[in-house]
Amino acid sequence: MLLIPCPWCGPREDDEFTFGGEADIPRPADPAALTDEQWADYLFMRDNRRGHHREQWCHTAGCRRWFIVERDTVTNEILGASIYGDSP
Amino acid sequence: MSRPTPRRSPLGAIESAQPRPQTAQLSERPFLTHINLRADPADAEALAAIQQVLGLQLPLTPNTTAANQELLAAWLGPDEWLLLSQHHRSDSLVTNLQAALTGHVASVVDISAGQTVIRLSGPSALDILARGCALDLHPSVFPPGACAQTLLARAQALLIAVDDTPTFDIIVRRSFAPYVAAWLQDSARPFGLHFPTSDPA
Repeated sequence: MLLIPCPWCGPREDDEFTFGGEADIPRPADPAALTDEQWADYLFMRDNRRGHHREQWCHTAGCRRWFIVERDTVTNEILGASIYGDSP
Repeated sequence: MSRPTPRRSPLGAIESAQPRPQTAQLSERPFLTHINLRADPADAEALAAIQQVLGLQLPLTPNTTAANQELLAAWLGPDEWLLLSQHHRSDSLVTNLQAALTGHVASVVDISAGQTVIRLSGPSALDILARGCALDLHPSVFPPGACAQTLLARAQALLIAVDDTPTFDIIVRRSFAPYVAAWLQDSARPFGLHFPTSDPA
């Protein structure tokens, strides 16, 4: 079990959360200008990092807000959590 | 010609079959006004307008409530609150809030019919809840006035600490209410309690 520190509600068990994949992938400003390959890259391609990973989580059963968690994918250690817009 | 339909709360049957009070009591607080309110906490003008209507300040600290004689406001998110009231009619409260929030980015939704309040009270309440909830609900960390949205026996629930008895209000969707009540009955079994969930024979 992971104990995930929701920036609003504090530490809660992972059952309350939904995983949202890799963080810091901005939506292209003008999707129509992209090639199919670039668009597919934005939609589907994700890094599969070993070690330090910035990822999105939603506190689904709590305050229902999305935020960013930093986690070590090897040890599952949670290194921190932040709100969108706060500097990393 | 239409015939008026008698009101039936999701757990009306439980209330009527309630046995003598033991070390914990289960009851329903039916037909309260439930309103979901969303507003920008950075919009001081909107908060002031809300305060004018409600007569209380919305709690801005996560997982806390604010209450006066007529109304309770529970924090649900940084820009979201649940208003609970026995005193106010939902339609007039919605109308007043909507009027006060004209021109602001806000939302007022009457969800009274969608959920209900289960009240669990008594010395065994902590033990009964602990069997299906990972949160520490002891009054030393979850004092009266605290609230938390979490999973209770895998059902989404809003827990509000009411007093030191301890007493908890458990707010669940009406479709979850019979399940949560049945689960509470089952959870309470080791403590020698019994909460009938069907009409008395």
